Amino acid sequence: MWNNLPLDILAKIFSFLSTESLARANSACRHWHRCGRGYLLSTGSALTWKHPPWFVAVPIRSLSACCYVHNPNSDNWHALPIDFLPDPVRLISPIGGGLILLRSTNTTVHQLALCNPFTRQYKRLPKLNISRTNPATGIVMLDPSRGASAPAFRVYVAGGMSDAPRSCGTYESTLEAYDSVHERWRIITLMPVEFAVRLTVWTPNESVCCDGVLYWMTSARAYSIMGFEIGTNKWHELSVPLADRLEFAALIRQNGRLTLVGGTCGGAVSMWELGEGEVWSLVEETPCELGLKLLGRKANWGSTKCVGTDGVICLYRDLGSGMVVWREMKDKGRWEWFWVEGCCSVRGKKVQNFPIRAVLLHPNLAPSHFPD
Amino acid sequence: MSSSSSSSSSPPCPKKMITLKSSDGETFEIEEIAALQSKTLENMIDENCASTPIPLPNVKGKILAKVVEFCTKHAEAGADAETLRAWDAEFVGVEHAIVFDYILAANFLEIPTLLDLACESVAEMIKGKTPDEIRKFFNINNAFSPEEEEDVRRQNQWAFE
Repeated sequence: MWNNLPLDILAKIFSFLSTESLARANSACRHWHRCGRGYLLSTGSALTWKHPPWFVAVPIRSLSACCYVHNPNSDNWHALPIDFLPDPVRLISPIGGGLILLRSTNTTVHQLALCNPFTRQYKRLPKLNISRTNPATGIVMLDPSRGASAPAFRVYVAGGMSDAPRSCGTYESTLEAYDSVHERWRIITLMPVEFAVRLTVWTPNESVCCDGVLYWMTSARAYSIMGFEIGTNKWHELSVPLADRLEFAALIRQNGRLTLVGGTCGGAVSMWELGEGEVWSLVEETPCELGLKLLGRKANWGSTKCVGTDGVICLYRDLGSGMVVWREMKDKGRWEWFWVEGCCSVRGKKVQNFPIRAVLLHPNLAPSHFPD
Repeated sequence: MSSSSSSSSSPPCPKKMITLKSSDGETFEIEEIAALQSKTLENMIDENCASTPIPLPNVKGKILAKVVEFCTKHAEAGADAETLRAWDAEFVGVEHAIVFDYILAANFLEIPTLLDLACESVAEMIKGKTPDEIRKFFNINNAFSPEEEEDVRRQNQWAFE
């Protein structure tokens, strides 16, 4: 009876399940397994937004057998084995369809790849036209084409130090873009050398794309923002509120607007939104006690990191340090602050405390079909 | 234009009724307006096939009776969302074998509200259960080969309590 339901009806039932329930339903029988793994959640579909995104973290600076994911529905941590990855990696950004863009860290030369830790899929992107180390990276999601089973996106790589034998050690002024539809890199434009330097040395994080502009947070002495307008290939700079007093600063996109999250010495973590006329307005501040909890015994915000997507913003440090989360409660029509305990053990086994790098991901248990 | 002096209210328009016939020969009357919630029935009404009893060979009498009840309730004017939600919850608060029949009927008759309601209630039955408990509850045979079993375990192990 139940193991003979038409696949489309079973898929409808499964659409109401959160990821961990779906993983268990997938394991019930062959028919259910085929349904759960074969019915892809398309990137733009309403199904994805029924469930909140998961916090997915990979330890940095160490070769880890697992990545650690936080389930927002049950407020607990799971360990997902990542032994299928051929290289140690550093997460960059989700790109839709449950896939994460990441960088191989066993080579200094910039090598990008895609992976889905839930389906254990991994695919390297082709090499850049110009080999370089430590460039700035940016992602733009494109509208998926009809019937496409993998998300459409573009990756922009700017600056870096050239790795070519002749010009080794010089700053690379080119900006290249990778198109997931055509699967190749194209050199787009050049930039002034001083921008290349900033994007190479002072830009630890990837960009945020808003209204056709890629924004990077750079931290040379005081924080400032570099913007690249994709349509016109023009660069411009944006100032940052409290630029020389922030101990950490990150850019995220919230409600379609560029949002700056930063912490000041002895102060709270604040969020500013960029509005008309490139004016920043203060939107929110972390409640004092939550901020202190996150700081722990540290004296400053220095190693704090931030990820955010529509409806949720997370401030975190290490795997075990816990997180401050600001989440939109749709049914209450307002945002609320939460504390999430860090991951110290999974299923009774103690977990070492690592520094981590995380993304917010809508898990997808159905494998993407990468063209060969 | 004739003027009518009426001291009493005019009689209500007679409600247009449709007759449905279940697989086991029972007949049920349903208001046309309620029947329109089924795309299948709506098509038949539009094409004027609805004057004779409509045979529904895929739906048993016991289930058809409940489907008629559902559509009638949902066609009522002025029902507030809160009360309707509570009524819906009670409607699907039955054993899963019956919910299974609701799903098949709603699918055949193309009643999206009933289909969503029934599917969501099944999802609730799945939540919180281990694969073993799911199999026991729904009487499912674990049809995996040993290799498939191993594959499946590796993919989903992280989610098992």
